[in-house]
Amino acid sequence: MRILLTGQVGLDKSSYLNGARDLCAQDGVRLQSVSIGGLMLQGAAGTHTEATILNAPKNELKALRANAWAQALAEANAADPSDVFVANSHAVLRWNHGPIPALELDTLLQFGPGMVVTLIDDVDLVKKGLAERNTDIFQLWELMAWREEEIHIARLVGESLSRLTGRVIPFYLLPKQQGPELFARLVTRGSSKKAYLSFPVTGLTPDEKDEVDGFKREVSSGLVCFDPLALSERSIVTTAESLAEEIGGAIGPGLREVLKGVPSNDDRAWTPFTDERTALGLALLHTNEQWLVGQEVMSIMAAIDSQIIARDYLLIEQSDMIVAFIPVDEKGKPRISAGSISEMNYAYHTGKRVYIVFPGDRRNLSPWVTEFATARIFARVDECLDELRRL
Amino acid sequence: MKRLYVISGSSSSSAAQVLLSHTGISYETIDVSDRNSLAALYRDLEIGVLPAFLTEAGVFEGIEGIRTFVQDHRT
Repeated sequence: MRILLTGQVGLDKSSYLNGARDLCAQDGVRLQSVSIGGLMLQGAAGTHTEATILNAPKNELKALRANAWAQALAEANAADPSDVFVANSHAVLRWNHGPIPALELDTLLQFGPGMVVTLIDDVDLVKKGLAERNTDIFQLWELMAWREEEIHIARLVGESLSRLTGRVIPFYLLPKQQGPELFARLVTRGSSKKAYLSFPVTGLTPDEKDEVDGFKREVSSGLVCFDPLALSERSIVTTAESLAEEIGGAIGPGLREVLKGVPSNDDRAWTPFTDERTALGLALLHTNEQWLVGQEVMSIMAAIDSQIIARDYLLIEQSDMIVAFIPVDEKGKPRISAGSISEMNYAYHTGKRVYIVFPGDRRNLSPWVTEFATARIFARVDECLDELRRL
Repeated sequence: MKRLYVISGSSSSSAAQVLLSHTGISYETIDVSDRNSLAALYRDLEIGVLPAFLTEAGVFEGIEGIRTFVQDHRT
């Protein structure tokens, strides 16, 4: 099978694919891959480096890309038909003069992928990856937009190729933090059922945590599972929201003093302006891995939340089912988030099977939950697992 | 069991611990500074501002929220 893997720069897709190659080998599947970007760099050797290649004129880039794909096609054609051959590309490139197309339908028709996959990761980790490659010229909002472009262009490519070839070419969105195991599983057991796991991890009792971890391990051994918790960039918003008040308290008074010194002038076309968020924009925020500019963080806070919703829905769309675990609170009531209810609801309305595990008294569950369940409500995860094994 | 979720390096989180220590209420302090815990806290419990004090009566978010809780439960 041939696979088109896309994803923005900064993900280090080559290392990811090396990990997948080793895992596939354990299952007796040989996976080969070529990096279109790497081949383009080889073609531009002596003139350009990774940090400058996108400065090249559009026509030169197009020629470099055409040569790279010609090499990739030759390697794919030379490969054993039983091998998995992955073309590692970008759906689109971004540079300081705007987006640059990175795929052409004619080339892809020649390559003939049987699957299109887009790898994604947290925006701050992508930025860190870019810094490590000396190509960190982007603000966070651009990286958020780029990730969306990768997803939707690749998805459209999959749909277009399906339409043009008359073959079903599935598209999958893969969170990088789920590791190359997910890619390897998709390759080696692509016909397995796919499941979206809606499992809380906060505030579980040690017994519940053991039970949930065991269930995740078990269910992942039989199904291809997508875990929304493998993306954690919401931590950036929570960090910013949590620190906003104390940053305002520390910077605000000095800022107001400075602005008092700006003379007022009614004829001027501008006037000093601050609000409760201004101080946050003047700070650097530490997010474990790196320092982020407050102003940049403020520009993506709303987008992070909206992309969580859109991404989780995409992960559900590519699944056959959703498996949700609802913990019991200290009063015996279900502890269920708005997100979890929305996920079950969306899965139900898009024709997916909905499996629910609730260790408490079922009568405490709302019909807004129970009526969406495909099967009975399971009291224990192993009961649900038995049901899933029968699929 | 009541839980206080804090973020390390935050003066508000430190202040919340001092405020709550005067109430005599027993609670568990959980540092959620790592990215995965922060993200999960929002997804699972819809807590998006720290410090946050989780009680049977609900969640008190931010230092002002915790100050309100402490005023209502002053011994």
